[in-house]
Amino acid sequence: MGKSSKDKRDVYYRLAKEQGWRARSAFKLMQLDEEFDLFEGVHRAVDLCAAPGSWSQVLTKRLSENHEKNPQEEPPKIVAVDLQAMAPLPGVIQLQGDITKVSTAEQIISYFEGKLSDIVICDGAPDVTGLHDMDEYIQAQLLLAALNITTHVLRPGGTFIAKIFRGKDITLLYSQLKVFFPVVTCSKPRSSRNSSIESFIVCQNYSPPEGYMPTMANPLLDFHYNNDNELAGPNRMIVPFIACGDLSGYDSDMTYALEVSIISGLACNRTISCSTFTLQKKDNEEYKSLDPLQPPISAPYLKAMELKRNNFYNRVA
Amino acid sequence: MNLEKDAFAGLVTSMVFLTDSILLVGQGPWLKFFDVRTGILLEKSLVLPSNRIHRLVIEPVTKCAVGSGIQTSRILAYGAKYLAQLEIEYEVSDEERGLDHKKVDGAERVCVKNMERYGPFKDWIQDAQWIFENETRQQPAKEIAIAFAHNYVEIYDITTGTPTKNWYIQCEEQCILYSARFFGHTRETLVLGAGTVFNEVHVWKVMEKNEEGFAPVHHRLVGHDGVIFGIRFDDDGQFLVSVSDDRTMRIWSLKNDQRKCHVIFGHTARIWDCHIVNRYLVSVSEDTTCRVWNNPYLVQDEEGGAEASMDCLACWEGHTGKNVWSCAVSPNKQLVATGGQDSGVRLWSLKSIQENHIESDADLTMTDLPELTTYSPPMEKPNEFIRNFVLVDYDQFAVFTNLGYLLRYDNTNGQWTKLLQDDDFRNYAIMKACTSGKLIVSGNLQGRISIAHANSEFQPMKIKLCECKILNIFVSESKVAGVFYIVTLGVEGEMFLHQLDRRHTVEPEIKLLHRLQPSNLKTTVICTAICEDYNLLVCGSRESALLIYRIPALASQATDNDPVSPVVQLRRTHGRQAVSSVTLQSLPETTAHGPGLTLITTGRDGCYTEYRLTNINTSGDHESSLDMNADEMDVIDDHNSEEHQISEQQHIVIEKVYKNRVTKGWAEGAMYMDGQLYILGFYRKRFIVFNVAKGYEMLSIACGGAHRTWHFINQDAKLARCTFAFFRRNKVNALYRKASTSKEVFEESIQSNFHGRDVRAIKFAGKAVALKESFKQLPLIVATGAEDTLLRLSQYVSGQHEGKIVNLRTVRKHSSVIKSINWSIGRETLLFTSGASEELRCWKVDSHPPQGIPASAFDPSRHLLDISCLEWAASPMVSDIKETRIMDTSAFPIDASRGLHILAAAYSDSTTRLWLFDETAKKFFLVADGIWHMKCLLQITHFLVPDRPGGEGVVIVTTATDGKLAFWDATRVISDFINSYKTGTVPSHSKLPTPFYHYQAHLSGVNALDIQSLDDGSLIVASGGEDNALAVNWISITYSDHQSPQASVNAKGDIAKIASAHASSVTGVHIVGKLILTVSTDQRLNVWEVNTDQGLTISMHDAYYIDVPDPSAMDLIIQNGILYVGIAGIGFQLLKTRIST
Repeated sequence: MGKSSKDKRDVYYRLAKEQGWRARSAFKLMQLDEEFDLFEGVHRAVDLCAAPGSWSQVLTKRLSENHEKNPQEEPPKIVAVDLQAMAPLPGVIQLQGDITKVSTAEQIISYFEGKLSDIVICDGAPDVTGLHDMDEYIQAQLLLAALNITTHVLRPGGTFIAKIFRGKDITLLYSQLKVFFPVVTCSKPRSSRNSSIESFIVCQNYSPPEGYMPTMANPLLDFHYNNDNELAGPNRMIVPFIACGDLSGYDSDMTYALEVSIISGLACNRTISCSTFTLQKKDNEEYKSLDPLQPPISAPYLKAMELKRNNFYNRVA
Repeated sequence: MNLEKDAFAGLVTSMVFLTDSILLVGQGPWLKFFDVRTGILLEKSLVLPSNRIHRLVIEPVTKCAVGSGIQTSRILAYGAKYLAQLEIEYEVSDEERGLDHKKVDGAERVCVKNMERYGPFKDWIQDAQWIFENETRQQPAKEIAIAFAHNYVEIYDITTGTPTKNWYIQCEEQCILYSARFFGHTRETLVLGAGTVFNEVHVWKVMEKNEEGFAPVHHRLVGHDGVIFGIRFDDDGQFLVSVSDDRTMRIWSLKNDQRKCHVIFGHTARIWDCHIVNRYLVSVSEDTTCRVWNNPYLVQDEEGGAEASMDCLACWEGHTGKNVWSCAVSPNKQLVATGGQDSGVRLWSLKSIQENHIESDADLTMTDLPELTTYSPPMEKPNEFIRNFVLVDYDQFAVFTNLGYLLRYDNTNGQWTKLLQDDDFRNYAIMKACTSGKLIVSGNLQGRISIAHANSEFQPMKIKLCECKILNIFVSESKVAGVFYIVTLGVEGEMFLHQLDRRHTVEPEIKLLHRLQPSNLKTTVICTAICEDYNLLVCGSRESALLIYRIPALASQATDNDPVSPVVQLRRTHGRQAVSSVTLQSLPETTAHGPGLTLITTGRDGCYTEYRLTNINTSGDHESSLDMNADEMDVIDDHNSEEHQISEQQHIVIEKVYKNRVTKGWAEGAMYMDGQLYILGFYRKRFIVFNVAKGYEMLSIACGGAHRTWHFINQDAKLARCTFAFFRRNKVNALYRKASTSKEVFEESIQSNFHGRDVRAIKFAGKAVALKESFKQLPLIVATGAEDTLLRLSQYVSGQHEGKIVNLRTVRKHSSVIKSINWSIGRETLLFTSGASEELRCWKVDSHPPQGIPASAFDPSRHLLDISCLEWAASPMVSDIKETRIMDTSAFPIDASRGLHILAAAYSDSTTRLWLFDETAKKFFLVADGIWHMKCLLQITHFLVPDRPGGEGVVIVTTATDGKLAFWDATRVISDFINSYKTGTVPSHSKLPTPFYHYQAHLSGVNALDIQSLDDGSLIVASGGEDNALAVNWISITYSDHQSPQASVNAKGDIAKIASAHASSVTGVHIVGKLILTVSTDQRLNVWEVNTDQGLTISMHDAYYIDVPDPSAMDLIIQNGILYVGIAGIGFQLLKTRIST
């Protein structure tokens, strides 16, 4: 949101293509994990709004690492939910469904054989319109819908992570999240571009209010400004901010030369820490433009694009 | 500090017509009332503090009789979760009753009598409707219905003080709505059209409940491939139109479910709204256009063909940047108003669609030769046809036939008149006319020209000029009535300038003023312009050259003078394309440059170029001729270099002021109408008249293209009286336009455009605009740069209801976003702009009061500064990667008297670069560079140290995405470079020394930075970050000339950090005295107080809600005792407060 189109092909975009991630956002989850150690002891995970699947890829990797370390524990189970169909991923159960439906929650729990999930993650975002208040509202509703289904499927003490737009009414959302989670942190991975309005909310230690009964009948709605959370002033509900991702790693805003090879693992791996960073040239290799791994499955404007290819618009204008 | 909101530019999100002449506009939280006949703002009211108005709904009460006098009306205005009910009073003028319309002085009067604000409601509002007891709607509505984003409706009684909820119903489909629209005005008839996130449109009845208590869906309109952004019904509820993310509009018939919907493609981006207006559909889109279409259902019924009915009838392109957000249609369905992202409010005439958009031959008048016998004796096998034609008046043209007949046709009575017959003109005649003198000048194959009068006031005359074919003729009128000039071009390149004088006799006196020597460029002149004030003839050629001749005889009136040669030859003025027209205008006499001329050329590269000609009245005796490539133009302007003064006196100074591409086709002519520039051109087989200032096509005629002979004459700025004629299929085809009444001619723009994309840079000019003038009162001038790649210079103008930011100059030169702007005053006022693609440009800014107003009488609330921006230089590209962005810059004069400036720039490849700019050489020189952060730089600033050992010191401060601030001592690298430069050698650049001080201020990117020195020389460094924090550091620096590092820093207290200064990233920081202002993406402006009594402490002082989304830059200035705060983002907001000194 709000960035010039010139900036879109950043270093993480290229890294994702080289390393086989379905989207650059994989690095955001990995960098959040570096900071918050999200997957320690996690066996069951739910990925909401999963398409194209890069966060599910990260879940698969981290949870199977957990299992390799402790093979005596139960094997990992990952459920990926999306309205759209998604290309299959090994080790991930796919559920094409609507997160506002009770049936979807029930299906998730049935995959876990009646158990609740340890973590719920959601990287979903609508296509932004440019009306900032509307976009922020829709994003908040998506997050609240995710939170609502999370109250059905998350075990107490579990973690919830979702994308937010830090716009004008973000403190209303903070207030709502604080009802369910004592520890709420806003975090910005280094792979998320500076000055993009996107951030991630990390909600830990799920503790629903006493007597809270999860329901899909009434959607959760965001709060209003009141005396404890002013429209403007010193008492606004602002949750702590944490930047994550190794400071010595790649910078999503920085302009890197194309012929420079990417040092795998440097961008995001807690075992590697570099105090200085150097860019090396791969020997005898020229930079090749790589295709994105997972192009969008369907876009609303596909038909319009086809017409454009056939010179339709020139006729009209 | 008590900041008061003033001028605002931003998205126009809602509008509705109250009457045919009063337009209501919701912009940000304000509701504005405009008189569309005059463009006057009648009233402005703050309706929804801290929310923008998304929709306006007028109570549709049936008025018994419309009379003049006071009327009242109720309006609902809502945005987000808030709704306001307004009661307004307005006067119905005589025009509403259809009487005299010319009542400009007696503008409409509107006032807001009462306003109730309701909310917050539980959920986001998607529509609101007035609910009456019955459909006759004679009694005021007692209830309102509100549709919410979670697809439920509530009905409230509004007769009580606080509204009470009487009805609640949830639709059975529980999903989020992107849009909704009610139809019906009673509970029983009320239905909701709901546009879901799942790409469907559902129509459901508000009073109907199923067994579970939900409202069932009546119509499921399925087919869109994207979410639904807008829904509207027609007046009868028969049709519903929906617009979507999938770039289509679909029109559905609700009466007959069997009928498929019609899908309309044509917008090139998302569509936001569409009205059904009788037989038309009017849509607005992200593609910045408003388009008019036929309603396929209705047109199909009439004409039977569906395919043709999908055609777009009009494409109105007056907004800039991206998005037309809102659209309204007047009650009489004659006018359309549109509101853009660019803050503009524009009017369009639905009636004008046919008048301004000539599609078919049926709209043109085709004229063929009359029966031969009416003008010629009978002959055998006559094969008579039109050889050439010319317009001699709005309703008259003249033709030469292949048999040598010159005939005049009068369209008012259809009469043909024979003017002459001459066998010399058989089969070839080049023709030009002068409408004011009704002269028809024709040239033939034998080098003769014939001069005739369209009404035969004098006997036709014939002159022999040369032995070869006459290739072209140009006729123009003198300032002196009755005097004309004729330029004739022979096929071998020789040109003749004749004067034709009818002042004393009916029969014209003709004398040859000069023979014009052809240019050595071997180029064919195709257009000319004469300037009598400076005795110049300017010619444009087919090979893209521009030639200027001095014509001494214009002054001396002598005949048979020596031949003249061009004194200026500019090559490649429009690339390699033909110069299709040249137009001259005097420069205003009060300008600092004047006296002189403005020259506009148009070219077949689709561009027009504006030049400034000065120093014209030089002695022509020993003048050397000037021969230049236009690409190297800017070197000609030599104001500042003393050694060039002499040469300057010897020839005309020609400066390129502006060049812009207006069409992808050919630009063919330029006209000034009421001070506005119009460009004529051809694009895709259409002739167009383009209004440059207002950015839209005023007239468009399908004529097949530019290859045929054509003529256009025009009388007035609105093209009410004009004629366009062209030759096709042996006939003269013409559009004779005489707008029927002035009633339909409204103001086209009632609120002017600002940037149409995100504004990224803002800098107040302050005294920079007063370098050469001493103003009685300094105007507030601001330079802004944006994602739309435009640089704008605007002036703040206070007004009765609101202050305005009025555009003075728009400069389109950057190829991508402008991220940073800096003023620097040396010998001239310079402006540096920079941004993506490593673009860094220097502009010379000249400003003076408008013509006729001395600076001592300049009143910024009434007069607009005349400001120009001359392109001077662009920095070389130095980084290896072409995507490198210049993130920020800082500039200052290092030696103002010699015109030397330093510009420090922060690059996205992590390099800090220092440039020297020399006004004399008009060039950038790289002084030094350095890398330290190893991350993308974000901010750069500088401060000067006057009392540093060894002379004035320069310290550069940078920030990056690593959260750090670094202090670089640039004193030595700059002074070494400049000392060497002044001796005449340009040294190679050096490396900046490693920063002598740095600290970690933030967790991630540092977006904002400001430094202020205190009385004791210590510094306050304030920074704002992506991490929501404000960090303030208080330091003192000790400098030494010899040791390394050259400076050491003492902290005067711990770094004071407010971790949660904002709820989102901080994007602007400014220190004013003891206060720090911060602005953030959370749309708040916070004011902090700095206390240095015991260490350093920061406390919150004040907080304001800002109406600009995504604010990304802030600047402050204190001028005339007022502190102005400018905040730029998606739009612009000016806040101000009077400060005590």
